[in-house]
Amino acid sequence: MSFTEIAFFAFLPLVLALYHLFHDSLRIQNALIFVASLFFYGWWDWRFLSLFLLSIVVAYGVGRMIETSKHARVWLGAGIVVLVGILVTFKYANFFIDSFLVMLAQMGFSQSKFVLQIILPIGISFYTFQAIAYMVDVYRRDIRAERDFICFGAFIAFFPQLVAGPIERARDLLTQFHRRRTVTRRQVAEAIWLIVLGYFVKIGIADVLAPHVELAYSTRHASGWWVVLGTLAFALQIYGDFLGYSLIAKGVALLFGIELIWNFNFPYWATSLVDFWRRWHISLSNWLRDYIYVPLGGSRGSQGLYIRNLMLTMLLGGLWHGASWTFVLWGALHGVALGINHLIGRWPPAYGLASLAGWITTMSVVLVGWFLFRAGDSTLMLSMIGALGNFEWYPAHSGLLAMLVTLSGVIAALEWAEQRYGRFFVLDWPAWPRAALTSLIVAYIVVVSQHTDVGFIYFQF
Amino acid sequence: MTPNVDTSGPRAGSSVRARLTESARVFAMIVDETWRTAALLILIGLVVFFAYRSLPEADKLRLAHDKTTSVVIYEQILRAQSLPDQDILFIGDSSCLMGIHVERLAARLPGTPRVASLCSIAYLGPTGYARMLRTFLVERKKHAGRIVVVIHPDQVRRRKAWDAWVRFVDSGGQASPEQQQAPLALMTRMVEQYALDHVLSLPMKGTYGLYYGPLQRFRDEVTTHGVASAPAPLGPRANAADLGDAGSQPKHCRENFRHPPTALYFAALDDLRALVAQVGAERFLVLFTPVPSNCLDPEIEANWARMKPDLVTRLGLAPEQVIDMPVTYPLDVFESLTHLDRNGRLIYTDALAEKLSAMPVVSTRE
Repeated sequence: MSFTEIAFFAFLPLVLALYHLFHDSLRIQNALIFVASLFFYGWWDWRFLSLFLLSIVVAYGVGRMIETSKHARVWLGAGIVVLVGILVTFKYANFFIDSFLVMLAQMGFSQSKFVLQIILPIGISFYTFQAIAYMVDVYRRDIRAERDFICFGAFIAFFPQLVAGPIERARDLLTQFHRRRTVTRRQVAEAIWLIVLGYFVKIGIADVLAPHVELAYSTRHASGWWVVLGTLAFALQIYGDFLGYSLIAKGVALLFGIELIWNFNFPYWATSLVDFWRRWHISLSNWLRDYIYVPLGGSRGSQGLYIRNLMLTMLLGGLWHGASWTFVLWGALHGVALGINHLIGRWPPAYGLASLAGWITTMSVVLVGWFLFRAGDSTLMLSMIGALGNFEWYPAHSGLLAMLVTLSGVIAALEWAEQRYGRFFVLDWPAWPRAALTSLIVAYIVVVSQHTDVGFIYFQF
Repeated sequence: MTPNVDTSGPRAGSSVRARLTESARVFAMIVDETWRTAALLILIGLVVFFAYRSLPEADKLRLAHDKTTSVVIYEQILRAQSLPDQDILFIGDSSCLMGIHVERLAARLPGTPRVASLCSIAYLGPTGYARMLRTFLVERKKHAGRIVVVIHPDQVRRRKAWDAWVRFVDSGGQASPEQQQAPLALMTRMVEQYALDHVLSLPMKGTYGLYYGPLQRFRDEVTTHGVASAPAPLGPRANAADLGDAGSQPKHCRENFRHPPTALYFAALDDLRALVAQVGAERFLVLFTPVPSNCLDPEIEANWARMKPDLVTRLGLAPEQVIDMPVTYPLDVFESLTHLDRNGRLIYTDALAEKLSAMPVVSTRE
């Protein structure tokens, strides 16, 4: 089920009503969340429920064994192998087979086309990483292994963040399933604002840009302006899409009295690439830092090792997004740029014109990265690079440019206000002006949603 | 590090009423937080509803047409009902719509005459063109010094199904053969068009979206100038497979251009002939638009050599009323078999201006 499906608007009130009906029993509430989350997941494709449950059982059992067995390391290794094995099988099998066959062909060996028809289970990268983080945290003794299976199931499967994150840590989320959760008036107000804002950036910004991006990245005969404006549009689209999901997830979770982390912290305001990765998809950045980069040695050791660790981390980060060499290229670009950023230290300084130069440089790298990320295959990528030789201005470009300026302006103004007056500055307004703003946003969403039928981009990861 | 585990079951004292109270408390907070928004949304909905109801019927129909074909025809119906007198008026199929730049043509003719286009698509055919001309010339009693009937050889393959578009013209744009939107969707479209047009441009699909962006930009060009631009990017053709290359004849030419016009086409010509006779044949000219150079073969040339005079005669016109323009143009100025590309349109318009300059124009300004 998706937040943009009509069914969700029946599902949520029903689950919420039942949940608060059993406000006096944590066990029933957790069981309800677990069952509702399985229903939410099964709505998409019930056949993958068994795979999902297997991952939960493995992580739960391995967590217990790590805590009680003398061979904790072995259990951790086994748990990671099983979970990563499932992930690799379902997400990367065809990628590796294809790459292997291409390599064989280039070496002159004849090869028959062999492709496994594997559907990617939705959200597998997110829940697998969350489960791995849990097992490692138990191994590191940062947390105790969870004894209550229902509670653990609710933690891994919690439906608001199940299919596209944020990738929560057990110490943040699992512990909340052990506490009584009373929803306050303030939480309700925050939740509703987050949900409205989430739908606005998802439908009102990301989805209205989606057809432009689709055009820019689907033609082999695009003009250079389509490449430039299409990539700018994609930068805004992917941000709106993922930010929108994260805000709705956070808002929905709040209605259950549960706090999720902020997955974005105004990433397009970053003045360096290091800064960007502290603001973009924070839960994945933190995961990569804590479970890949630091175990590899982090910034300890020689500069060469340090750069290697960064590169490996970002390459894996790229590959996490999908089985394509363009994602690997995207990761490599960010790895190299992060390495350079670390080497030159705090330059440019974060003030004045130097800060502007830093922002422009950072955004240039980010935009080139988004181009690689969206192009998907090298044929289209090269064709679009070729189109940079033709900068004919079409009437369509004027419309897209006006739209980009307007939507960027709206996002920038909103984020400026949030940074200056707080994330929930609107809640300090009097009731009627706040309602006026909300109703205009909702009316806008209703109007534009007639034309948009776009899933969440991050569901495919 | 250790979670504060609370695994208590339902409390002994908790009753169904207490549970319902808690659930109701949460929903009451949600309602309290949202009722003003809901009230304002209802108000906005009512404003939109009454604004839609107060729209003129023509504008409501305009909102309903969201495909290029119906947009072109509907806008030309409205133009036929509103254009002032013209020195030169073009009527015909999409080879004219996309192939003649009327503003450029007017600028290149002596005395900068008033030039307008009511060109649309081949589906309308001579019957549909006669309907539009009748509106302009007979019902509104407007004057056109020269009326140029533009015919692409593809037009003569007329089929029965195309008559649906003639009925569309007869109904004033109401009986569209294309799917219509529900009133609710039209209301949201009205909000988009009147309130969000400059900030929200949702592109059309395919090459039209690539060139024009939103439908409104395409509609504006037709509404303002009565023409449209071939949307494909210049340079290598997106539909090169249809056009073939210089050395090979496109399949479409081989299969369709060796046959005489259909009986339905001749019948449609009779409708236009009646109008020609009514308003005066001397004011009419005929222009046969070109095909790519790789399209022709001796058999097609022979067929057209017979067909074109037949068509002119059938309209009640003399052979000298045919504007003598090339039958073919180089392949690289075409977007498709029937449409010149944007460069081709300029080249063709300039050549047409030269020919028309040599012909007397019956001015309406005297």
